[in-house]
Amino acid sequence: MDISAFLLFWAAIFTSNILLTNFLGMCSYLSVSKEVESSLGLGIAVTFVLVFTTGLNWLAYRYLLVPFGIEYLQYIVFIIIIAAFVQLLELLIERYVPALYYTLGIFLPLITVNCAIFGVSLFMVIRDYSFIQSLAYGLGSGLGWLLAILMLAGIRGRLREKMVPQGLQGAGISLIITGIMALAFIGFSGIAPIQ
Amino acid sequence: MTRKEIFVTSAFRENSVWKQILGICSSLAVTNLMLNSLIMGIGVIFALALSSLTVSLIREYTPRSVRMIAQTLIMAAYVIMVDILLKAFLPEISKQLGPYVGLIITNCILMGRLEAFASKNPPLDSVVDGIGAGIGYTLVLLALSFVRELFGFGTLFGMRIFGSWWTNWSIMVMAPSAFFLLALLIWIVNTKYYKAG
Amino acid sequence: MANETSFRDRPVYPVLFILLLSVVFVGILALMFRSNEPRIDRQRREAYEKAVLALCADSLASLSGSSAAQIMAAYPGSFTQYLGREEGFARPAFAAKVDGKLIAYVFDITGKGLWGTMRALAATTPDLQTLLGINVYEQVETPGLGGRIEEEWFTSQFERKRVLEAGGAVELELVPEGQAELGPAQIRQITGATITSKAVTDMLGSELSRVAGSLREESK
Repeated sequence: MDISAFLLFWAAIFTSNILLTNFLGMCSYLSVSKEVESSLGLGIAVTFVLVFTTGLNWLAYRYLLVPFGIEYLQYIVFIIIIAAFVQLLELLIERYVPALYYTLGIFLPLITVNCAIFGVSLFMVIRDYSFIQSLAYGLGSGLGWLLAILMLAGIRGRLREKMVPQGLQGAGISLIITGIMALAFIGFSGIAPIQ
Repeated sequence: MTRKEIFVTSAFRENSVWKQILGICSSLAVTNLMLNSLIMGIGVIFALALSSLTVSLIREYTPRSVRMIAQTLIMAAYVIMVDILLKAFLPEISKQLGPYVGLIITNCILMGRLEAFASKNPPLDSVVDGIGAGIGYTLVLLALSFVRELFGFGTLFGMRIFGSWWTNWSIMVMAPSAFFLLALLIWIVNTKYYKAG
Repeated sequence: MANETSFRDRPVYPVLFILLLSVVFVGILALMFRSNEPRIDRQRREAYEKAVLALCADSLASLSGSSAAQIMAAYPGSFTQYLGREEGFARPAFAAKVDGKLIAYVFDITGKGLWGTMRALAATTPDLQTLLGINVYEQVETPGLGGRIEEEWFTSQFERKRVLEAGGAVELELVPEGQAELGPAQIRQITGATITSKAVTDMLGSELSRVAGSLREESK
């Protein structure tokens, strides 16, 4: 794949935003975006996990799965690496940033099954990225996800409670806002075609 | 709780999608066609039932520090098993499900149920809970895809319903429509059923 | 006795637990995969060969005296009878012959789709200039959207399309899905899947030019 890592990085944030274009990573995005602070915290955690796990998964694929002909185990190997890494991260956050640990609650372990993280690793394999490209893609995807969740948190912060009908509060209005953002991001799609 | 109550709770009262807001990613991606939704739903039900059973059976022996890894391993393994069996015995269906296998593994519903219920409850109860959650999820998917396929393609399960007078609504074919439809569904459910509580 | 820690509390236990769990499940998976591998491979090969046969069936029918349906039903016999691998092209190729007379080629081509690599079979007339039909047999596009390039309504558009001329590849133009009239060099794209649709036409153009190029090389 001959796209430069640098271009890939920017494309991952805007034209192929993992959340607004590929619709991965929704669950925690919808629930945590109530406040800007926890959104920032989760977004950074996700970015961190994305960069490291994409790199680790690339290495695992290249040096473990392919040489032994066990590519069919890639789902398991990738998800285990992600799970182990997130478990490690959870222990570190619990120890050093307990406030974040309590705010994020169940969504910290849920980073493991954040489809965005798994999806990025799968895409990396399908699109045959090099190591550097994978890291650039992982970092860009993370920042793109962070951007999306911050935008939603910002908008929700501005939305006064009374404006939203009761049945739509929370997830309902977030989905509508996200739908509109997704439509807007489609406008970016011609700019840097990596897809 | 009786088994029936467990089922009703996980399928409806605490529905994974509209109440717990889990499993959203796939709800957006596969609901463009009813057939895709059905296949995805069945896959999730299987994976949930089997993993809930296994996680529950070994819950006494699972150390807290590695519970996530254990749950992930178990659920991924079952999904892949289902995939291998489909490839071998029902290749046509497997071809449809193919891209979704990955999505089932990362479907937050699985991890959510395993963590919240199966890891703390007896095996048979966990299976009921798993199946209930899976069915609840499948129903939501079918509801969304009913609208999207009908208005986006004029068909249901591939069978033409609207004649040639119908112009397809392109928005229904694109994923943002799923966002709006799901929001609508949540709104209706919240207003009608949760008003009292 | 009260101070004795059970085996479960020792730090090595979680590691052993996960190790055991992994070994058990990966073992089961490996067993299942290996035991089903022959069956899965056979099914894949059969589907592939049948696809190749199906692309040539109509052309074979006109010369061989059997109907297309009969030819398909006679698989695998009919496959070995009429089709053989052909060397010398830039891509894997099959030649369809009736009593030694060449009536079509089928090429195994690949291209880059939206989400990943796509592979297709393209059947052409012996002069390589007109498509007899295509079959997209491997793709990882969005299911229900880009994935529809495998559907009959889409692939059948390529039947009898001119793809090569003296000057090179014919540029196939993509038109809206709802367009009623279709010009000779026009293909209806999939609404909402323009990139994937274009990937198919691009693949055909570049791959068939490459194949034709290798033929020219050979005949020099």
